[in-house]
Amino acid sequence: MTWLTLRQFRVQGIAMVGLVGALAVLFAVAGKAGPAPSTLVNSLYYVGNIAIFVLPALLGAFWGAPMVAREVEAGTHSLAWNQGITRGRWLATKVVLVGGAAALLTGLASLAVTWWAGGASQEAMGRLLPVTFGARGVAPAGYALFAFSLGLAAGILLRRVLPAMAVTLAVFLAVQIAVPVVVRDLLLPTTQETVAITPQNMEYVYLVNAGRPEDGVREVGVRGPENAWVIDNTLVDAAGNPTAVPPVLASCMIKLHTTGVARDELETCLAKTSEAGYRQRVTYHSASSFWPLQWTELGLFLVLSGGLVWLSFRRIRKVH
Amino acid sequence: MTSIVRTSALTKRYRRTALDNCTIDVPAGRVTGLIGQNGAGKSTLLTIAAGMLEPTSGSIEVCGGTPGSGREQLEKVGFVAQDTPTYSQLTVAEHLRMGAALNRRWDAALAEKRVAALGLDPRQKAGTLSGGQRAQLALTLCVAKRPELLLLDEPVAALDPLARRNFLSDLMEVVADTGMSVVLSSHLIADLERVCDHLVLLVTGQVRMAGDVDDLLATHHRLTGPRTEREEVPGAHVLHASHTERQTTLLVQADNPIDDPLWTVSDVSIEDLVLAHMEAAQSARALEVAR
Repeated sequence: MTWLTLRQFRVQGIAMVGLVGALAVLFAVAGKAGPAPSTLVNSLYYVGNIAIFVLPALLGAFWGAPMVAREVEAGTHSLAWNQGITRGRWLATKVVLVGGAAALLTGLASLAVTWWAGGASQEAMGRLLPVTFGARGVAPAGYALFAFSLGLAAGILLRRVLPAMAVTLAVFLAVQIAVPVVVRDLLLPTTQETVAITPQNMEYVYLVNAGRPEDGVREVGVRGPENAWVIDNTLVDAAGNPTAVPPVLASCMIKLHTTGVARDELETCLAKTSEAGYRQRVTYHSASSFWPLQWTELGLFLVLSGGLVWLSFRRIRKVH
Repeated sequence: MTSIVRTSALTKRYRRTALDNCTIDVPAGRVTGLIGQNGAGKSTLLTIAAGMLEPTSGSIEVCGGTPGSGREQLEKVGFVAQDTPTYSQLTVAEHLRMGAALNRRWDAALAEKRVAALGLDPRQKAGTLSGGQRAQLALTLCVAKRPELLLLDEPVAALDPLARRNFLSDLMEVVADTGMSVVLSSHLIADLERVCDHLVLLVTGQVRMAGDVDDLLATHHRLTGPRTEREEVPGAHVLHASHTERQTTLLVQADNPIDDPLWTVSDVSIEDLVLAHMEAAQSARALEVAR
């Protein structure tokens, strides 16, 4: 069965490994990203990120989805499943070899990009930012296995290649958006800090047009610790409850925005705000959470993949 | 008589009923023809027997086991599905390698001998073979796994007359050499007449006639006599009647010889029989619908 799996997988396997290999050569020739990158390295930095995001989707659509669906479309499933080997064994071999190859290929590519981009100036913003996090470390191996299992299950349930590919891509995209937005920050406990707003740590003011200028100041934010992934930035009053921006702060923010203020004027204004008991509460994952978060997210995707593979084993018995 | 396929009230429903309370007993060591029009349930029956499809209700036993129940069962049954599927990107030799890898009882010598005898080029991809060659390759894969029972679903439907004859005579040789039981389906009576010694006729998912070809021929007769409206013969069951101005011709089933001087008794062909049964089934259904 190993031989047959590899033989049937030859074209898709070579195509995808060749694509990744070609990119790897390009990265190697351009040289490792450093603090003063060439234009090529600078663009490759983004190419690398995109490639790691896209690769699992391609593997799901081109390795996972056709695995059973193409056999059914061509009628060859009745050839394959009438040999002296059960469907379970047939599927197990395919999942281990091809699913394993998908995880391995993506994992290696991701680790290579992680190493290559290690010194890049863009990394200074922190590898925990969603646009970077998903293209670094070990989590992409989980994405790849998940996309593969998703394709496999879709192929078994839909029994047609193109619909299975479309569903795989759509669901995978939805999950890749949902996880950083609503799931990832819940994977591990976050750190909370309540700090006074100072000219040094103030990061942004969010203003909208409103009747009275002071009412338009909706939010202020402070910087989190270096390379941290700030999830929440809330102004709290003396009692620690979230509150709207008070006039004492709003008025000088408006002035800062419209005419500009001297530094000591800003300091005075922020000092008055602090005296009134206002603090900024920052919720974040610190830079040191990068690897714990990576492994936890890998675990999450392994569990999701496991569920889809289990479903595939159950439902393949019904395919005819 | 030992059975190789035995079903009891086997039923399969999709949106329509493909098999309707089918009870069949197919004897071992025979070449059984499964005949019926398109949509009569032949494919459904064979696909269930191969373990590819689960019935809605009823039971089926193939080679003493439940279809698709595991490796031993898969090894006992060889199945060539409609359109004789093969992997178009794999060569003939790679197909044999696949068979050898996946079947414990694989007979490599037999497979290679057959490929050579059929004049197939081992390096040729299956996708470039002619329909007849592809059917031969599919049969070779099936035979070389040494099953007890060979299930062939319309194996010659897509073939031209010459390829069809070659396939069937080759099949006969294989059966003679290996002694395996065969069930093959076709909607063409001529194909089955040539090779089968047992027949099962399916009409709209139900068994209409089953038996050894010799017995069927011995118990069915054509009676010709003067025109009469009475379509009845003592001791015989009238399947079909046709009238001309002066003559009445009946096709009857009777276990004992008919010696009514009124009738001239002559033999029937399998084709007459099958057509008579199909027509009888159709008019019975028309009656049912009318009621």
